[in-house]
Amino acid sequence: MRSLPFPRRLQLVKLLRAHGLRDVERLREDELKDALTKLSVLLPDLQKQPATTTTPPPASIMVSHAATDALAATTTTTPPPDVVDDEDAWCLPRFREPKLLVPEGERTFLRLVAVKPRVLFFTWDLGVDVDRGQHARLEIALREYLGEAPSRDALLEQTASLYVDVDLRAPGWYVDVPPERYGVVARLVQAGRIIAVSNLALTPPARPAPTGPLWRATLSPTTERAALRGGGLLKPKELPAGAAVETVGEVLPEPTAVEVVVPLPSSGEHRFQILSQPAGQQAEAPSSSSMPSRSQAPVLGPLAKTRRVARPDFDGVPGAPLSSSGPSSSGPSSSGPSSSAVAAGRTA
Amino acid sequence: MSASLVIALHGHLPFLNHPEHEVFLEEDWLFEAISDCYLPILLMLDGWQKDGVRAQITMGLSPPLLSMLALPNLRERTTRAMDARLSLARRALQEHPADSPWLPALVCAVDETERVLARWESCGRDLARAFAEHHWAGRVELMTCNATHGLVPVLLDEQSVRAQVQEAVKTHERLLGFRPRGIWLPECGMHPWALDVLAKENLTFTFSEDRAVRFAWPPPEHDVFRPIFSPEGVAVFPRDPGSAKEVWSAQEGYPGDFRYREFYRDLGYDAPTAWLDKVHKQGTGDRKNVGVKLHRITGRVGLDEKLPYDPLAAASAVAEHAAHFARRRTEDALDVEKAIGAPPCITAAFDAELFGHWWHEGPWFLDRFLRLLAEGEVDGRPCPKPVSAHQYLVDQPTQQVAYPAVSSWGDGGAFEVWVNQKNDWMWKRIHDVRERLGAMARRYKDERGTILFRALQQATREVLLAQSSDWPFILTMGTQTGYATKRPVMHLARAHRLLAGLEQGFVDEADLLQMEERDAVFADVDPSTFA
Repeated sequence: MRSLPFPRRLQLVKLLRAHGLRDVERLREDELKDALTKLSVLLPDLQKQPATTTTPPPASIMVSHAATDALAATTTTTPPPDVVDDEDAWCLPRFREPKLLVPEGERTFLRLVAVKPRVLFFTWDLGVDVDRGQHARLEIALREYLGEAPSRDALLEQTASLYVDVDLRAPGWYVDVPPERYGVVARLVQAGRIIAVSNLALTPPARPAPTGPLWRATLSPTTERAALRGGGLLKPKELPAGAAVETVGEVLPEPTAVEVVVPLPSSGEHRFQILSQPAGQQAEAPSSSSMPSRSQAPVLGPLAKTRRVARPDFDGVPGAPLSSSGPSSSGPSSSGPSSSAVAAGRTA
Repeated sequence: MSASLVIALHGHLPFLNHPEHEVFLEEDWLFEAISDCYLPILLMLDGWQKDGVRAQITMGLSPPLLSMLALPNLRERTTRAMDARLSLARRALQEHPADSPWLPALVCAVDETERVLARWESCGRDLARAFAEHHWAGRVELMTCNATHGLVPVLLDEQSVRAQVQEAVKTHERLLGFRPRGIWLPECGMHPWALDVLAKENLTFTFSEDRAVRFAWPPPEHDVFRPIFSPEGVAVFPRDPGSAKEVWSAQEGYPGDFRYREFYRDLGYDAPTAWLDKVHKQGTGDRKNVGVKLHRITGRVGLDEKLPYDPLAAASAVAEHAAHFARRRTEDALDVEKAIGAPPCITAAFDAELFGHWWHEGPWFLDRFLRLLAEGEVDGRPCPKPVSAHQYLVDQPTQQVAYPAVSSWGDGGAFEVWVNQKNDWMWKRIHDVRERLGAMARRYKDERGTILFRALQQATREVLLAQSSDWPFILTMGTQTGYATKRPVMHLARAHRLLAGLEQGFVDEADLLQMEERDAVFADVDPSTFA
């Protein structure tokens, strides 16, 4: 097989690495090309997907949706591959071991991973006490936050924001949500009974945060970090010796409540509320007699120039603000709902 | 105070130990990394010591890597691999006439292999100790990485995250002799839980993708040109994408220079059959890469058209590229300082293996570039000071406090590379076995010294090994999928076998022994973390 010209290989390596794939430089040319092909299938850009309606496969329930309303698209996960331990026969006798078995169906649980800004992944296993033949519903509580993440308990006290019907015979489910900074917890409910409750997951943000206070801390490398667990730097009474925090004042975002209504053909209308946690309640600015006034705050103008040069576009949001020099036009603000809801025309 | 440059190298390989086979191809990943990357970097540090170069780097040696470096059987096999490389290079040198165009490349291959082999033997085949000596001398700041490269935002249970970090710190301390001050979070996986556990272990710094800081709240005052403190006091150094681009861009990247050595032509495939012994081949008798590479990149030509490697021309390219990189970083630092009104900190972070393993001349480049910066001036202008992350925090103890954003260095700063339809089958199983382990850890927590506790410890090792982010990554890439599928299944199956026995109060000692020999990590692993 002929090799790729080297610069072409470099381009492929760079492209694959830009997609987060490591050690790609190990690959042969044919493997690089193969990986690239698979990558393009694997990493669809949901934001650019054309409007489609999916057809449900027999073993799963798919919530049909238009891409512009892509708030609850679901897909099932793949089953595990068969593992053939064909090398075991060749190993030294004392290392031979029984067939590799991984049991299933012994415990009931629900796991949740925030895969990327718009996509959650749910996976579960079900013990004998659960009827796999019946459908169940994921009741998903979302809470937008800045700063300190909401706790799992707090989310469990909240009314669910999103409901998704799932087929328990599938090993898992992908669910689309708006691309905000969420704390997420879900319940798996069947016929009114809670089967399992998920862990807390935090979605990775898709854009810079809105403006906030400017805190500076002075910390020696020898300062005991263990004393700062739980966000101790922003709790001035708990600061260990040798540590100091000062604040340059700045407005905090107000809490925002956005009600979003999503028409979903399979199950009627989904209505959910996204709460934006008031940042000021999470991380109060430490009081300090040495607190500089606003006029002493660093001037951010010159930096903005540097940033414009250095930064890439973020998830197709060119020009999204990076500077803390003013309220974000794209992030949550006191004056209105989140931009994604506005942009999609879904504000109730 | 001048600008600073923090070079961070992430040294990691998944745990590869197959004593059950005399020859196991995947173990070559380790042998190549030692010969091509870690020993050349060690020789670079030796050179700094000899010449009094005042430069520092920050380097991670992950617990699986450290564990492999400590295993006697793998040290022996590494020596065997280096001997095999040397013998083939010498044979080829012997066979070529004095006027052969391949002679410079062959002399270089023999000389380099002899040098790394000599260093390997002079440190008693104990690379960890050799690096630790440079750590104490302040030339390298050695940091750790999660125990088995578990990706925190995907693991998402407190016990696993705690165990990953705790066992990492313990392994670092046991095998290097000191507690780490910093950690490389696998895949730059940033999450509040990780930061809390890092604080618990008194780890003062870590590295992140630029998004963790750019998307932090409140937004960064200095973009990616300074670290931030998390509210737990952990300094987060964001990668500067610009620095990485200089090295890897297809247009501007250095390793694609036609004078550099070609990675994909190897004498293991090119040599006449008569030159190859058993040690130069796979266990199946098939050919494999031996590490003797005699071609240069040449140009946009096929592998068949590659021309002989000329080490002197490559050295000349290194000198040009190092000078260029130093000049660019100096210009960047001056521009950024002017913009922000304060000395910036530029963080350039890479996989360690990129230097030497695939870019053969990478360690030469790193050496040359850092020696230039250590002079204090480039082209008559003050240049960034090459410091370790720890030293930077000593020099600059005041930083902005912000909540880093959940992120990784994966596509879009997220986690789809590790959770997608190629590999999502493994995540519920990894969670399930952790739950089962938790129940047994609670039951047997006071049984230390018994065989039951040994079995519990081994189950803990197997659970941790199954959590490695390397396997879902390889499955996503679609390469080596057989091995990458088998490894987590193997660890899960072993853990379940042990735990099923423990539920009955029974241990198969022969089975336990073979597992302890194969999966020989974390000597004093603490199962109670999962309780």
